[in-house]
Amino acid sequence: MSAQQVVEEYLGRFERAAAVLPRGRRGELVDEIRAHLAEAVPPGATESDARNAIERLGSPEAIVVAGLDGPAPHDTVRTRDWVAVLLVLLGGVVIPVIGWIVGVVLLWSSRAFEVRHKLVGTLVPPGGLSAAAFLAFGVSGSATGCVTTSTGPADVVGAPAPAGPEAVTTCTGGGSGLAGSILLAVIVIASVATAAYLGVRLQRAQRLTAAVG
Amino acid sequence: MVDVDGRGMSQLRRGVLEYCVLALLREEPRYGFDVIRTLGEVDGMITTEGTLYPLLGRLRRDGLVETHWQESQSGPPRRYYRLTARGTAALDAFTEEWTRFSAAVDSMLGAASR
Repeated sequence: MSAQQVVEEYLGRFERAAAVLPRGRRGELVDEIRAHLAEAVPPGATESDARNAIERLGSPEAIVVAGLDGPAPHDTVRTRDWVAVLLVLLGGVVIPVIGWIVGVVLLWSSRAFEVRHKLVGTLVPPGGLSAAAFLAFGVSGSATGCVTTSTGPADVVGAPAPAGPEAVTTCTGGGSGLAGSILLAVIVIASVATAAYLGVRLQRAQRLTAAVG
Repeated sequence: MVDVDGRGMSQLRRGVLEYCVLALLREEPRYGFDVIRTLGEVDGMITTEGTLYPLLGRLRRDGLVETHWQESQSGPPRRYYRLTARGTAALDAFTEEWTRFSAAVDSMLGAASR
């Protein structure tokens, strides 16, 4: 491996680790680290020169953590953070409404997430997969079109029993089976994507924590 | 052996380091690599060179230093850091506080070892 390859590999690792920083700060930091290595590893340097320079610079994770304000907001990822992700996705399916609400409470009281993660986790979609379960139930019954107007989590509890006559009377659109299926797919994909988004966030935070010790 | 460089010591070092950087920039504007090289000449000053860059970024956001680009003879332009009036005031306040504090710590440590 040439000195330049060692540097490029480090910069690649650094950029991935820096993904947790706000955009402007990330760019500035990556520029500075790049400039530093250009000075520390001049053309003609050997591979071991480059490795020494990188050793002294420190791990990407240690540098990125130093760039977070104050004590790292996601200092420790705990089991409950993973439980929050799981419940936001599936809680409403296991115990309608309540399971999901517990997940949301855990999510908002967690220190492993920032506000944008919490908002996405709560709203995309509200109820998590249970929104899809509710919709699917509605579609299989006669109340095809109206379900779209009442996907809110509060409606899930009422769904199993009185879905029949009441729902039908409020129903306006017939023949929306296709629209229902598309909506169902969108909700399922959105739920899973949200859970994956939160999961990736937790994994990154865990890697940072592990790197800093 | 007791771990002297545990959490407390590294926090202390981090807290003091930023004033050492300000003190260095009081002499003349410097670019990042130059700051690190100069600090590195003093034993025990920095352990992880790279963490200096987030520190410089924070000093700038706090208005204690400002940056400008300057041509370099040996490569691309460099980002120079320069002390602001606010930075000078912060450094003066710290210097006074540190003189008192370090004297107090020295006297306690000295008294304990006797």
